[in-house]
Amino acid sequence: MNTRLAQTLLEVTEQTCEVLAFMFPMPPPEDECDSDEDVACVGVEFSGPFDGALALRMPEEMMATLAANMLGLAPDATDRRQHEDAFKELCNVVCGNLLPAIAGSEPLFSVGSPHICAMGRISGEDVIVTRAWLSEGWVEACLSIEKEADLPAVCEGRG
Amino acid sequence: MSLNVLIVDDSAVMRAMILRTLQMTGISLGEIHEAENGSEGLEALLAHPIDLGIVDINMPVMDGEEMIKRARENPSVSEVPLMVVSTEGSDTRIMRLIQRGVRFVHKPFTPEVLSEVVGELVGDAA
Repeated sequence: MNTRLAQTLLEVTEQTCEVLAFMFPMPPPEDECDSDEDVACVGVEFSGPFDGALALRMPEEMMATLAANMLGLAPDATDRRQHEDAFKELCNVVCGNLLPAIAGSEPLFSVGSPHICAMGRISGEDVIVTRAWLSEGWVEACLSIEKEADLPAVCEGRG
Repeated sequence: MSLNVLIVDDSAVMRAMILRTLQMTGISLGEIHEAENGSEGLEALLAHPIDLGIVDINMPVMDGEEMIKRARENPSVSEVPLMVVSTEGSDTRIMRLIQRGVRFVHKPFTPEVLSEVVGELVGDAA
């Protein structure tokens, strides 16, 4: 795994959750084993100097808190449409901030529209996965880059 | 004077966040118009007396950059203050927008930053 990319992915995810949705980074729990909670997934594709996709996963029940925090409402005052819209916007903002963090501020990228997707849509050996532990739960970010040869210097320190 | 605002973003949650932030600033708001893409945004801009347009970039149908280009080319709305609220990270694209007289606020934004830029754009009109 590219450890520098993973660290960048984690930092951007944490910072976006904090500023966009007031979900603050927390240390991971001592027991990180997955529970059997339902998980939601959203994905977005991008193209430019390198192409790829980003997917975010989070517990289903956390989506209501995400939407509520973004809208300044109580979680039970939000509906499913708002939950999904908030999750898609979170993905859009993470992706939009991740690309310049990886590639610098010069390159132009085209970012698609985020969409709710099936879990595990992004898979393979080269997928970078990181999990941000937050005050309300966790968000997992999965990054897949197709043309790794075109990655800039920030990615050279492969771990 | 109340400020008529147009918010163009394909995310309804983001439109609501922007509106809520505007309400928190204490600015006197008049009519609020919303659009889901640049095409609808341009239509609303031409149809209503808008004092401030807040526009996303990455949208389906017509992106924000194209909407702003067309607005600036139309004499009836070319002077309307516009600001972009976007995740756009390319200096090239941001400079193109700034050259069209648009202010840029990066997502995710804090209420303080959005308020400051709105204040600078509309000044005494708010």
